[in-house]
Amino acid sequence: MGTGILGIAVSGLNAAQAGIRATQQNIANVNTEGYRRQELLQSTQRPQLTGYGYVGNGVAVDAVRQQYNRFLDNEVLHNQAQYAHYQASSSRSALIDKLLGSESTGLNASLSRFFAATQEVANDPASSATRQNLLSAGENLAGRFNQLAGQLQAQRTATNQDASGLATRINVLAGQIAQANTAIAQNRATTGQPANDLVDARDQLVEELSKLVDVSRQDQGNGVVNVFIGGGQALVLGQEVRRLNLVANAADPALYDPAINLSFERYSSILADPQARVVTSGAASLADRVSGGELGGVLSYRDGTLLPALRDLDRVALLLASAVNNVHRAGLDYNLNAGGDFFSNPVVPQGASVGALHMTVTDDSLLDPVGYEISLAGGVYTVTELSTGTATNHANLAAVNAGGYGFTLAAGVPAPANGESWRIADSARNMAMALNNTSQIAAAQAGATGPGNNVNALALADLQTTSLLNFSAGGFTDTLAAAYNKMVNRTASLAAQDDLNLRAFDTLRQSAVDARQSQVGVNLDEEAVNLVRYQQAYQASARAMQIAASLFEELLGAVR
Amino acid sequence: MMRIDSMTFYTTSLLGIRDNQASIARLSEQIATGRNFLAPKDDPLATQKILDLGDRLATRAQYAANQTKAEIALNYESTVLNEFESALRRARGLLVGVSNNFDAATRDGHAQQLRGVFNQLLDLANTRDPSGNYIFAGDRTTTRPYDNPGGGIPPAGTASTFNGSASTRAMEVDPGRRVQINDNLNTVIQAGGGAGVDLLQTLDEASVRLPVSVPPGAVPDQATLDGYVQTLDAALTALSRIQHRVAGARTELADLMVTTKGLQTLEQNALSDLILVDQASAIMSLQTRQTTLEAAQRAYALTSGLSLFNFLG
Repeated sequence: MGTGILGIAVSGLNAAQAGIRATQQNIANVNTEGYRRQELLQSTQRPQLTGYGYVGNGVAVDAVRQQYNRFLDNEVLHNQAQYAHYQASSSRSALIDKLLGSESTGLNASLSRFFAATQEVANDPASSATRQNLLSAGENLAGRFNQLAGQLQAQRTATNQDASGLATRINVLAGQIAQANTAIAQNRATTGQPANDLVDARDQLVEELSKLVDVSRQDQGNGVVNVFIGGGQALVLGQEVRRLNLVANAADPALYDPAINLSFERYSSILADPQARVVTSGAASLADRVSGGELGGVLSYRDGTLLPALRDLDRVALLLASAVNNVHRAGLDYNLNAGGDFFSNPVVPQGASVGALHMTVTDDSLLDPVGYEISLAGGVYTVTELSTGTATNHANLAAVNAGGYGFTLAAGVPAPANGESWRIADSARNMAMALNNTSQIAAAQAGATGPGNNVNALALADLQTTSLLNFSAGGFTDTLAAAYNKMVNRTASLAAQDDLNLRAFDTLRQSAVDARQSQVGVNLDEEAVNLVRYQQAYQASARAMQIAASLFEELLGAVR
Repeated sequence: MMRIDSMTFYTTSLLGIRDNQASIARLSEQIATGRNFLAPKDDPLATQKILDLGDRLATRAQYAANQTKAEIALNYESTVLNEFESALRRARGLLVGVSNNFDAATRDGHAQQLRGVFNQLLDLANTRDPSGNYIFAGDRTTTRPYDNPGGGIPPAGTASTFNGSASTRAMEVDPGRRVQINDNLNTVIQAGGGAGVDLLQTLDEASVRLPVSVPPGAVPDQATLDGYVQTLDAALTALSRIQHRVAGARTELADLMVTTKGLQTLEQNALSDLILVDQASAIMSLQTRQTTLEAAQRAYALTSGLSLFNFLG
């Protein structure tokens, strides 16, 4: 009986101490990201049966339990992923939004200046001053196209680096999650108790992962979680991981898409070498399947905002250069010689090729978004659409022109020869002046007898107000400037949408976090109350122990 | 009742502070730049309108410049044509006044004056604009168009040669609208209509046949003198046709310049309305935001000091 009364008091002391420790742990981690508040689970110890019934045997500490809410955890994961998505796309689209739309970097001023210069040549066609002005306006316009395309292409290259860097970070996190799973499982097997702090740290890793890519988690029940990305592709299964690598984009081989390896590996091997690499087999592309996280944001920005802008810019450059050149070649220069190309031919001869093919766009809605390669061998023209790689042979140019490509080609001087090839792509980046001398400007019409003829300069000036782009219902609908402005509007709308979504998911993420924190977060006032509660329990147990001790003293005194 | 964890409790007012600070930064930038939109994405639709309007204004500015240049060219031509006309009228007066009864000195004087008119008309037909282009040369603006050495052997004058081209030049003064800014004088110079007979040749002939020193057979009779006057009348008629065309073009241009100016003002105003920020309402929003920010900061200062630990001994 004597051990009984001391034992009960000691169990009370121990329980109160454990309670104080749990409270201290909560207070210490009030600002720890991902920390879930812990509380003591205690129960009465198995009572002792005596002749007069069951007598209590003290208190037992069963476990330190963690508060959690799986539903709110998943809400946080989802909204976090969407928030990170729009954060990534909004910060990037804001850049090209300003680039295309600003007065100092956009195309509008250069385009207006170029056409104003053609008017000035028409006003005074024999003047070398107006001709010089047109040459420099043309150079300025080509330079502006080059700069814009250069900036957009640099962003395009940056998305490859982003995809690679993000895939590597995802590999690291996936490896760490699998590692934590292993530790949690081992801990559980040896102690039989939940490893709360390990679970918190692991779940924090899953949350970090959701900032990079949209994830869904599945609890195995023994504290171990499986993680899926890209709409159901297993990334982490227990202790094993599937590595993220990169594969070439189907429509544009210069771009990389994230791809998940088909086979699993141990976390240790992925943590030893997490680098994502470009592979050609053994991995399934996740393009179009990743919809959240920074990776999803980068891909949707690339495919939805950046590439369309770059292709629109190339299209404006291609139609401008081919239209100006076609008009210019129809005229006569200052010395009444036939006009040549004004801008460098957008059908660019490759390698040692010198033959000229002149392009007229008949329907720009049919043009291949990436471009074309054309080769001539044995009198047969082969046209390759670069986005699909489809190559078609045509017996002659007339057959090419009937091929439904949206453009026609005419042989120029020098004539195309067998063994030669051409490329129509990156028109904005490639744009340059073909003329370098004021006398080469063809301001006069065919049949003119002197340099005072301005009819061809007027025809060049007319291109400003002629619809040259956006073929629809049998005709072109937009001028060069209008088509460019539409493109600015499109980019701006997408950037504005990104901003709206960013704000929406910021709120949603915040309220999901708040809702979860209201359940699992630490409230210092509560902990203050707990501290007082356990302190009092401790003091009472100590007092009970003192009484038990004094009982012994009494007994010993009586015997002595 | 909702449970609130301490981290949320202390950080909620921080969100309010952050939002207000962002708004204040944006409003300050709007007020400082005077611009409503700081990036196209602030209002994509308005941006497209702004760009379209800007392009249209730039084009219109160029057309306004073209109009001014066309006006200068037409005024210049008009002055030359008027001088041409008064010289022609002087020659006509001289020829009408000639009579066989005139004394030798008067006939010689008339002949000399007619030579002067001949030279003046030849110069006017070879007028160059301020850039040095011959204005009556068609597209061969660098070639002297009319030539006549003068001093024919009585009873004939020397024939004129034309080295220009018959084409005329137009300037684009509005989209799709062109104004002819020069003419050639072939209808005036070849006013005699007859083969090989032209205005300058007629004047040369008159001035070589009138002097007293001319052999009697070469002295023009009344019918010949009448023929000269008819040639000059035909030339005046042809000239007045050109003068009418130029006057018509100048009137058309003047109307167009008024219209263009009006449209420029309208479009400029529309553009300003889109671009410029409403300063009064922006400043008011700024003040409201500042008040809210101060309230949020005060709320943070108050709540951050609240803790039960402060009251536990």
